[in-house]
Amino acid sequence: MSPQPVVARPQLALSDLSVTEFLTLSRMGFLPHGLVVGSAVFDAGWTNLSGRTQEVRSLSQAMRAARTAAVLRMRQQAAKLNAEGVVGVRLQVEHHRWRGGHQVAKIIALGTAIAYDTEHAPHDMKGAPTLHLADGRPFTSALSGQDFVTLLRAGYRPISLAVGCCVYELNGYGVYPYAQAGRNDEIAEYTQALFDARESAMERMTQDLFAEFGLAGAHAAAGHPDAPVGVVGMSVSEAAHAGMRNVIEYTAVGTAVAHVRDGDPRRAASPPAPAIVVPLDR
Amino acid sequence: MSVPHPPGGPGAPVPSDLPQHARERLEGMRKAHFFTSDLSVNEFLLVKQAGFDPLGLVMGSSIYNIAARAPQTMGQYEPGRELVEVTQALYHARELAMTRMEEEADELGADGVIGVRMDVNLHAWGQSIAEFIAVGTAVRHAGGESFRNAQGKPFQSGLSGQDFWTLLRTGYRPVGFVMGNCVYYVRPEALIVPNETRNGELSPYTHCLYDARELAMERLQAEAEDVGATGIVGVEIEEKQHTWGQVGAFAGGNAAKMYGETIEFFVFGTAVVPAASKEPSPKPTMVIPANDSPGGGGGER
Repeated sequence: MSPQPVVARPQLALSDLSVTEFLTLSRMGFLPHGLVVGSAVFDAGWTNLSGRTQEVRSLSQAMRAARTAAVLRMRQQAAKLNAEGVVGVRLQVEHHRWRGGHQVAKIIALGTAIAYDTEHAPHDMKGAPTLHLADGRPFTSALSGQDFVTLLRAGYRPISLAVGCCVYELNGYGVYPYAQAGRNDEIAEYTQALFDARESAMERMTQDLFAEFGLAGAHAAAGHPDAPVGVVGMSVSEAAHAGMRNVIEYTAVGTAVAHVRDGDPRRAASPPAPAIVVPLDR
Repeated sequence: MSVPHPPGGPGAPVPSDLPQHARERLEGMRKAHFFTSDLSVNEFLLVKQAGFDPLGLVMGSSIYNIAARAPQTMGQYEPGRELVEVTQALYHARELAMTRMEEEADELGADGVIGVRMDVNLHAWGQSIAEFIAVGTAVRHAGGESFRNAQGKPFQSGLSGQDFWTLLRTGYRPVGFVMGNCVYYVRPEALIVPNETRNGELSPYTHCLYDARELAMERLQAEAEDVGATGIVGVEIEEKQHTWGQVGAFAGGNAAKMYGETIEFFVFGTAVVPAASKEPSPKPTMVIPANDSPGGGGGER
């Protein structure tokens, strides 16, 4: 892997980095190239709900497509700014009821594009290989500046934001027998449904990663050069889809990471030794 | 002193009922040597440092109908007492969620689960329905040493990655996530002050809350003794005001003075046993963080 050239950086780069993040990144040689945003608006209404407890596949697919589009557009913006990748990505979903009562969902992906600047880099790290993906695209990640640098020092690089969605409909009458009988009991139908929905969201997250980058671990040697080894900082959130109380939407989000490329000097020789500290600020 | 344990307590058999997608997901992760986790980056690295590999995010849940009713006899509210059935229901719901999470961890071949959180979700379907969710990250010792508990199941712990590392280094290891709860009814008379102009203790009310808290703590302790722990770390006491059922429907404002109150104390922590540490226990260093964060923690943005 050849050392990176000095890349053109905008004269004035916006970022939503905190001061600590900016300092951590810039001391390591990473400078912000600009705030990048991608968005997608899609139709979330007029779905034929069945009244039964089951997944609403059309909505699951629509949410997945919308998130993919928003992230793709953000990535394209980062590429235009000559960035190596995006840190601190947040995915926001807003549901609006527009005139005529039509439901739309707006998805926004927002983060700060960064790139390695060999002039600002520490002395012994000037020859570091690029963090671009093998096909030249910038990486995306939900990592904070500190987390990004810590991971890099430990020998991992972010590959891609990992997202999985599942929208599930619940039979609204399923709870009546329980509520009327005044029983303390598990509502098995709902438990199964939401359990299934959550698992589906997580499963799709990993399936999409495998589909894009191939398998990691034992297969890494033969597989994709960016094959991730895992997902860090994952969370599964749930929300009533478009304000419909019987339609629940699960979204799993995390950051897929892979090992750094061979000979990356940013990888610390030994992992940093954790120390117990007593903070004196309070 | 004997405290009856709610049914479905530790060791109660629960049928294997993981949804198909759960099995698929876990199987997929195991085959691909690919992990998912909700650990922060710092936690991830500390868990690695402690000699463990994260295997995957595991969870379990249970949606439960809670029928809380103010106890009456002959049209009179009964004196403050525990609502045993409701206590048992809430305990059972959590136990179901925990057992399902344990099952997922077992499926992954994990030694244990760290960072366990117990959340309660209220949905819009009805006041009496709550979803209990247990979430955590399954880990396995990289050196092949077994850290499973006495029952041969993966241990569960509410410890963060940081706490897990510190605990192991100082010579302890987690054996289980232990819980205790108590749902208590306080009748309206207990909330009424005899003379509103005087400052005075509402002793019946104090007594109810005291009793409820002690019962919950006692059960927590009994559960820790059951798993052979020498202590419990990270104990938290949550006081929850019910919004479920008949009593909750009137909660807020002066309603409690008319119908009484239902309160749950939920206590949980991580049971630990001593274990020989291979490394010397680390010495604390004092630092003055320059981070502008109110909590004083350095890890966040």
